[in-house]
Amino acid sequence: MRVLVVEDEVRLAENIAAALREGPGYAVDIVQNGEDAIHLCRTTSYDLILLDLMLPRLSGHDVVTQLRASRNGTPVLMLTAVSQTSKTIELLDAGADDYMTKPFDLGELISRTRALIRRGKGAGEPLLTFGNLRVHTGEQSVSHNLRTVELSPTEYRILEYLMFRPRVVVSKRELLEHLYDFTWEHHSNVIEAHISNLRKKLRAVTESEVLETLRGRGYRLASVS
Amino acid sequence: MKLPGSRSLVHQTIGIVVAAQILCAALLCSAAVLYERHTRLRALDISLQGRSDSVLGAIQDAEDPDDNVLIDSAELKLPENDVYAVYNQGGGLLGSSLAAPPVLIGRHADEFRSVKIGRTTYRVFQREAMRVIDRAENGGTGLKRPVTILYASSEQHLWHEVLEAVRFYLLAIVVATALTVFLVSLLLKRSLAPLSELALAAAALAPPELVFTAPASVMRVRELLPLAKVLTESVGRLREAFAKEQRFVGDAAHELKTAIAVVRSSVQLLMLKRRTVDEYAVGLERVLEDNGRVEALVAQMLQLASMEETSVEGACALDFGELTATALERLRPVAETRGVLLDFVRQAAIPVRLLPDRGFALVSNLVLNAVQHSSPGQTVSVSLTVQQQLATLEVVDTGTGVSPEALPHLFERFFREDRSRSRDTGGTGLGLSICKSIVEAAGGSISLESEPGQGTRVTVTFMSA
Repeated sequence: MRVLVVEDEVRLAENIAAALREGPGYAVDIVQNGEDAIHLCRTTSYDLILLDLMLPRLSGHDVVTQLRASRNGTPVLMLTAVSQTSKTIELLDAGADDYMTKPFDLGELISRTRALIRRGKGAGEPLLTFGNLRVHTGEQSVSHNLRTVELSPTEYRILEYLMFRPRVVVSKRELLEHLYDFTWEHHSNVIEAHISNLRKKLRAVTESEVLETLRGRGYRLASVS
Repeated sequence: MKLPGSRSLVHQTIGIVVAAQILCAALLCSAAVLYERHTRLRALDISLQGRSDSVLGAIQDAEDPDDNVLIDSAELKLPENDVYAVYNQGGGLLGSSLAAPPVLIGRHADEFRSVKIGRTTYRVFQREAMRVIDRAENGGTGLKRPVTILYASSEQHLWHEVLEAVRFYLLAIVVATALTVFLVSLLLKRSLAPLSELALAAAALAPPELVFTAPASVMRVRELLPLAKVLTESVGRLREAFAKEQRFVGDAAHELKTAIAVVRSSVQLLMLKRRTVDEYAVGLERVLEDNGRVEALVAQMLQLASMEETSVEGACALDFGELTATALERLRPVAETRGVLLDFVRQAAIPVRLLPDRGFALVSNLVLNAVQHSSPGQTVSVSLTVQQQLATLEVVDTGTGVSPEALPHLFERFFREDRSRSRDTGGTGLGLSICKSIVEAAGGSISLESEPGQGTRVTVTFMSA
């Protein structure tokens, strides 16, 4: 999952990014003003935007309004220092999905981030199931027929991303875009290695070819027993 | 609502109107009494003349060898109580009415006079006349005998009439006064009604709206217009001041919450998982750094608040040159770590009325700003000059400068041109606000010129003490 943090207080942005990378293992990009946020959202597909309200050049409120006007439906979690009900109503009505007031709890922020991403993908509960394969997004654990599957963080993130849309073909480009941020010096064959490892581990527990590669098109989760 | 010592405009006005009316009435009454008495007395005098004519007619042709006069009162039809007498040329009494008091019919020099008997005043008329006797003689024209006629009548009914007139006037005045009081109080209450509406409108004022619109009824009263205008203007100024304070409180809350959010997130990030001792040490150092920013913010906010509370009365004339030199010595290590040079030029002693710690804060803030916007190797020049009692402090740097868009907002509280950069410089956005408050409290002025990429010049002027 890839998250955009828009916050002009650099230290706060850094802390949030570090927490999201360490916790749920998201790829995180940081910008410090509204204009840059709008620009990035046009070129990159994010799974969630964490947006500060008081921003230089373009306020968080304006950013949300512009995003929704350009039919960008990415979930937006607002970070505000104001706790006035009128203001929060205004923000939610402008298209924000949730808000948190500063100073906030970092653990709560991670949970809300996870929940918003889940809902953004159309999943109702934190437990993703595909056949007998279960991915618990909260605990970041994977099991098949109650047998735990040990995965590396990157392997888990690939599986989680695919689990939201089983049977749908996901291109390598999309995977790269959603699993790595701009700080990552990645090569396309890195992801192929992770995919290969993930496929082996899944094959070992399910005794079937769960992760399919469609040459030139991408990857998808096929049937699982 | 009644306050001790308060007075009612309505009562006061009614009092004035009634007093004026009573005074007028008194003057009118006395004038009327005098006039009435005068005219009635004249009328009485004329009627006395007429009645004396009747007496004269009655004594013509009275045949009597001694020229005695016999007057038949019943025939004369004179008022009952009138008294008259006729004297001949020698002063002999020819005849008189019955029981005529001698006081009244005694001869006198005046034509008219008033005589008082007991409680009654009489008007006495005396005239000389010719009486014709023996019409057959002297060729049919008769003999003429001069006589003196005295005729007296009571003035009582005259005074009675005057009093009647006065009573009528008094009654009219009382009725008119009562009517006036009623009408005046009614009119006053009506014309003062906009005042109560004004009070109601003013009473409805409450923060945060603070919008005052005078009722239409008030705007139609010319005398109330200035009051309504002043109220509207004052409330407008109050609203602006209130909004400014509100904005400051809002901004302050935002800054504090953000600063605290940073500290909290740093701590929580550290606690997210088990870390090595080295990681903890680095993390704690970051927390301490973040906490330092909260401290700086709180300190500067308190400084700004104290600026508005305490007066400058304790200010004494201090040598601004010495103060600046001391401040620069303390700032030199900071400048050196950034590789920035400090240059200071000053004239002879420049006395300025300023609290020492404020003067210190002013110089420190300005020079630190300049140092933070300079690159290593650049110089910050501080100069202090005095010309015609005007002390001028100039802090010039050749650093990054300020964008033209940001220039008008530099003295606003919490304004930061670039937050991401102010993180490194430790700026809170309050430094220049504090400088402005210090300078203005001391009666001076501060201005800032800047060119992006060229540098910034801050000029502070004070009246030299």
